Amino acid sequence: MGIAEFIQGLTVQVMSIAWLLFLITWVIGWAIKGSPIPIHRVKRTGQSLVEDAVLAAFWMALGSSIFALISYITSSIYQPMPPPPQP
Amino acid sequence: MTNADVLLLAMDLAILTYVIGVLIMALPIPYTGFKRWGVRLIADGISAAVLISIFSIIITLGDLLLGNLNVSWPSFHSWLAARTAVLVAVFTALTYLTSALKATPYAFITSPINIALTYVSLALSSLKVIYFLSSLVSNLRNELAALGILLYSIPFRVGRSVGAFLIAASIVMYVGFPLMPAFIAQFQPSNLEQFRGVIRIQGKVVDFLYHRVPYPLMYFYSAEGGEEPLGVIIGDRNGTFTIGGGKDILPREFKFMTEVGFMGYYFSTEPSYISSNESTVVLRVPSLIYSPGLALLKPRDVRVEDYIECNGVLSVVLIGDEDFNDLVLARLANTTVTEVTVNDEVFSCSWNHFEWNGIDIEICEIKPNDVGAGKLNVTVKYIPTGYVKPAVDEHRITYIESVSELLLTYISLGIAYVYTFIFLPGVYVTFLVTMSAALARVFGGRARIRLI
Repeated sequence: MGIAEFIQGLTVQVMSIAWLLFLITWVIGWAIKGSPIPIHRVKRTGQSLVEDAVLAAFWMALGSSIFALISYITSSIYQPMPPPPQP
Repeated sequence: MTNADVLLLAMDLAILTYVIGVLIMALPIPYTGFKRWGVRLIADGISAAVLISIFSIIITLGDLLLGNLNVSWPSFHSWLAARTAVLVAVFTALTYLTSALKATPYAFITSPINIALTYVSLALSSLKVIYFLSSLVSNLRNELAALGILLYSIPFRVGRSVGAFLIAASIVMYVGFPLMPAFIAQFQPSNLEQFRGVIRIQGKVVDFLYHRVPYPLMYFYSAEGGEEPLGVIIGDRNGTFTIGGGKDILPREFKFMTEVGFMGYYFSTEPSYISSNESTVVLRVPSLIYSPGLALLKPRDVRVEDYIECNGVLSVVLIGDEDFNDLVLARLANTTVTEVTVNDEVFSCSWNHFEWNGIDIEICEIKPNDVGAGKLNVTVKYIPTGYVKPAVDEHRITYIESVSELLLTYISLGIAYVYTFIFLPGVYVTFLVTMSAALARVFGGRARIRLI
């Protein structure tokens, strides 16, 4: 296995773990937020966990699109340079 | 691994950085400081992807800037070669100066010259560094940029600083090195040009009939008189010799009387001197007629009416207003003379042998009977041989009066050389490194160049 395949495999694994963590965080966040604890600070922690989890899911879902967009934009702005002016 | 492979690997690392950032964001740990790392890594992944995508633009940018500035790498390389040649010439000149002064009462001067030699060696070393850096940048620019992007893409900003520096250096140094000649020319002191005007005179020794005289022993005397020669120099097999050009210590203006030693005799020349006004000189020996391995020595005022030399026969018709008393035939000991005729009569030569500077020479005085003034036809049949180099130690010209002046010139030149060959390139390379670090900060690197 080459280093490229290793990095790609690692990326897939990290992404799977990230999706799993998103679910866990989302669930924990809602659990804290919905728990019958009358402390505002705890509720706010639950809220922030839910927000972070949703943001993480958003960036994860958008990941491949972002990289594709970068490649598209750079390939479209890269035109062969004109020859330098001759004195 | 090609550049494309490196860039693919960098793209994989950029995606991994992005995914790790997302993973950190998704962690159920409610610490803002920790979560901020997730955002940072996502941004790093995106910026690395942008850099990977604009790799071709980075490379083309360097070429475009070079073209716009009207400089090129081949001209830079030829400039470097010219500077190396100058340094090597100075090194050689100083080495000769040291060896020339060793045998004189001014030998103590060799100590500062050795210091100057150290500086020249230092300048050569600095030139070597520039050679190394410039060839690294010109040959491996694409690889450096690709490696920089790869390092830039490693997660957790491990190689971000050095990666950004490499990318910046691949642009700045690629454009900057060919601009070095213009930078140095701007600050180069003018007295460096003086050194290129070192006196060098090339001379040629010919006989009465303008045949080249091989291995002439050149004696140079002061024009003011003096029995001791200022220098003794051996010409080459074609009769050419060189004085100056770093081999001799000569005054700015001079006039040396000349004398030529050849086959055991010492001859005056036409012209009788060489001066600093000429760069080439032809010294004619009017008393000598040379054939391979054989020489006819005649009085200076005797003219030659006819001359034939072919297949081992030398035939000369001489015209003189007085008696031909001083006519001498000289030959190398290994040159066989089969017959000598004077005015169509066979002349019996009595050869006298003597050794001159390791060369065995036989001479025969031609004293024809009842000739008086008029015409004399001398014909010699012989087997030609090559002339050998006399075993004499050369004594290069060291004009003591000009040593102090020369020393001052060398010291000021030395300072100029240290300034131009060590200080200015050093400043310029530092300038390039600083520019690269500044551009690296634009790419997001945080490399700090501490010069002091």
